[in-house]
Order: sequence, then C-alpha cells, then structure tokens
Amino acid sequence: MKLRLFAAIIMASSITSSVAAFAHAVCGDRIFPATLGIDDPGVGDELALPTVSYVGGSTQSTDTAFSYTKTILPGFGLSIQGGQTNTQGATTSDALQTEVKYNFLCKSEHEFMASAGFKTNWANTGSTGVSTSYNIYSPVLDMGLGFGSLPSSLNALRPLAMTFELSETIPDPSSTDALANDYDQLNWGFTVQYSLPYYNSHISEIKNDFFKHIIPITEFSFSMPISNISNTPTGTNVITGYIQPGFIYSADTWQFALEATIPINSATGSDIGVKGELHFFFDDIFPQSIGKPIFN
Amino acid sequence: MLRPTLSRLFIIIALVSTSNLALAHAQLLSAVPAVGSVVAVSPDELKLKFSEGIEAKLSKVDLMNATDMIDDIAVLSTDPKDKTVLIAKLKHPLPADTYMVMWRAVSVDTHKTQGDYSFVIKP
Repeated sequence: MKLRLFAAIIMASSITSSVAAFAHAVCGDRIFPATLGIDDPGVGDELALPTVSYVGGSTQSTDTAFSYTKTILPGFGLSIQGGQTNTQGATTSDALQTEVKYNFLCKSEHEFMASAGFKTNWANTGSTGVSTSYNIYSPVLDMGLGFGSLPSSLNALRPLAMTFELSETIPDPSSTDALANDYDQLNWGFTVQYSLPYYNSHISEIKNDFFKHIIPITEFSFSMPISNISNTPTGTNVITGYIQPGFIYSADTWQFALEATIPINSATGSDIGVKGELHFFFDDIFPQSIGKPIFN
Repeated sequence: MLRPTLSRLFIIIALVSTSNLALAHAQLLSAVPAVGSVVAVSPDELKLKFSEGIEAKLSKVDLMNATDMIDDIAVLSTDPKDKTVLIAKLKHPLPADTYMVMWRAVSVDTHKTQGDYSFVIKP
C-alpha cells in the first residue's frame, strides 16, 4: 500500500497542472470513456455520431441523434445536440439542446474529476408535439472516480471506476404554458465500469488485442418529478429510469458503445431497447486545429 | 438533405481517425518485462510499447523497489525503428525484488498520459 500511494504521489506531482490533463476526460492514470445514459465528467472536443436508440415490442421507436462539443477555453466547452425519432412510421425532430460545461476539478492522484454544466432545451426547435413552446433548463453536476489508488492487495479492483450525474430539469419558470403543463424533475444516475485497458497497462498484460480495449459497463439513470406533480403523466411522483448493461470498445481516437436499455418499472416503459454510439475524440484526431480550444 | 451531409461527415471522420494521421493520448499496450509478470533474471532494459509515438525527451520512467525509489535508469530513448516503443536502459542488473515502473509519456502530439505497473524478479 505504501508503494502504491508513494508512486501515485510521485507521478501526480511530476505531471504539470497543464490543461492537457483536462482534455479527453483524462485524470491521472484514468481515462473516463464517453457514456450513453449519463454524461462523462470531462470536457473535450468530440463528436458522437450517430447515437442510435431502438425500442422494440409495442413501442417500435428509433431515435438517431448527434452531439458535438467544442472547447472554447481549456476545460470549458459548448455542446450542441439534436436528432430525429421515428415511432411506428412517424418521424419527428427532437428539440435542439445546448450545454455549457466546465471541468473544474481533477485530482490526479485520486483519479477524481468533476464538471458543472448548464443545459438548455430550446423552445420551438423540434417538431410540433415534441418540442415545447418554452425553454427547459438543467443545471448538471458530473463526477468521476477511478479506483486506481487502491493498494496492490486489491489489484483486481483498481480497474474499476464510477461516474455520477445529478441534475434538475426546470421548465422556464416565466412561462405560463410551462406552469400549466410541465413539471420539474430531479435526475440522477451513475455508472460502474471495469476498464480492461487499465487492467492491461497496470495489473497484468492481456494477450487478446480485442479484449484489451473493452470496458464492461452498467449505467443507471433515474428521474423523479418534484413539482407540479399533477402535470405528470401518472399524476404521481413515481421514479422512472433505466438500467443499461453493455460494453465500450475504446480505441485511441474513437470508441463504440453498445448497451441494452431496460426500464426499471412499468411507469418507465414495458419494452427493452438497445442503444449504440460511435464517438470521435477530436482533440486526438485534429490536435492542432478544430481539436483544441479556440482560446488557449 | 441533413442525412447525406451527416453521412459524408461521418465517413470523413472515420477515415481520418483510423488513418496514420490520427494522433492520440498514448496508452501502454504492452511491456517487457510484461505488466504483472514474474521473471527469473534481471532484464538489461525495460521496453514499454505505446499506442502512439512517444517523445523520449519529454517522457519519464522511474523505478521503485519494494521500499524506495532507485536511480537505475541509465538512458531513456525510443526504438529507432519504432517511436511507439520507449526503452529504458538499466545501469546494472537488478537484484531479486518487486519493482514498480512509473511512466509518464508525452506523445508526439504533446498529449500527456501516465501510469504504473509492477513486475517481480524472483530469487
């Protein structure tokens, strides 16, 4: 344990506190991958294209979306996302969403990082019946913790990492339409991920070239109405959410994620779905042009 | 109109990101002695194979035995034939012990990564 702690402190102190440590959701020895159910705790130049969700059974719905994040300053970025949904043959456009996000903390020796963001779902930017006539705001807190600083006697647990997200969805308080028809929601979620790339480079070499890139993951995301309960579909403050077991293939400049989406109760839905995403890290693909902050 | 444009963008990005032009955070793929291995004799050098080319002058490899940092790295360089391989020449053979290798790699596009691993030289 002494050896492990000493090594962590030495390496942490040898890394300069430059902005590079904040890019690409890297903190200390840990690389947090982009996740599907909740956001990762990093801010980097990246593109998710496409993100495809399919729910079968009686729902028969396919959503195709994209998300692009551009760093303005080191650790501070602006993202935009949109998409289209096809439900039983009818196609609608999702509302346009933007987020400003700041990565304000990275404790290298503890593989701990945190970011704060502010999302806006813009009014009247999607199809009628999908997009609202008022903006919807969401302050968001994202955190990530790697278990790499555990003692050597717990080596098998060191590739573990968890990420967390907490947010509140707030329909524009100045909109009478929102007050009459919508409600605030508290949203929270977490992921549990076991990084085989971390295992390969820290614990024991993995001979298989495919498995050394795999990160098994399960995501949990929940929502609960907290105001104007009578406006909710059930008229109650029942918790809804999903459990999403799956895996991520993490390459150097891109990753692919595939997860099942399992509703936690009937209020969430009755059909299991699947969600996949291809994700490109522009800070790695175009490090000298569009992959770096506009202002350094 | 939106979909063909997105498709073209996707194809361009996919081609660039899988080509040799793409650079990235260097991740340790393998090492000699291997990560977590037990070896019978001391190696002459440590070899660290990364996913990207490395700048040896900006990178660092430190070595610890079970209790202390040891100054046993003589020269740090990359393999002349393969810049993804960082070579740390040892000053002298290492005695039997448990060793921790602590590395800090700066890839050719200046991204920094770090890590550590252990290997054992058995008595």
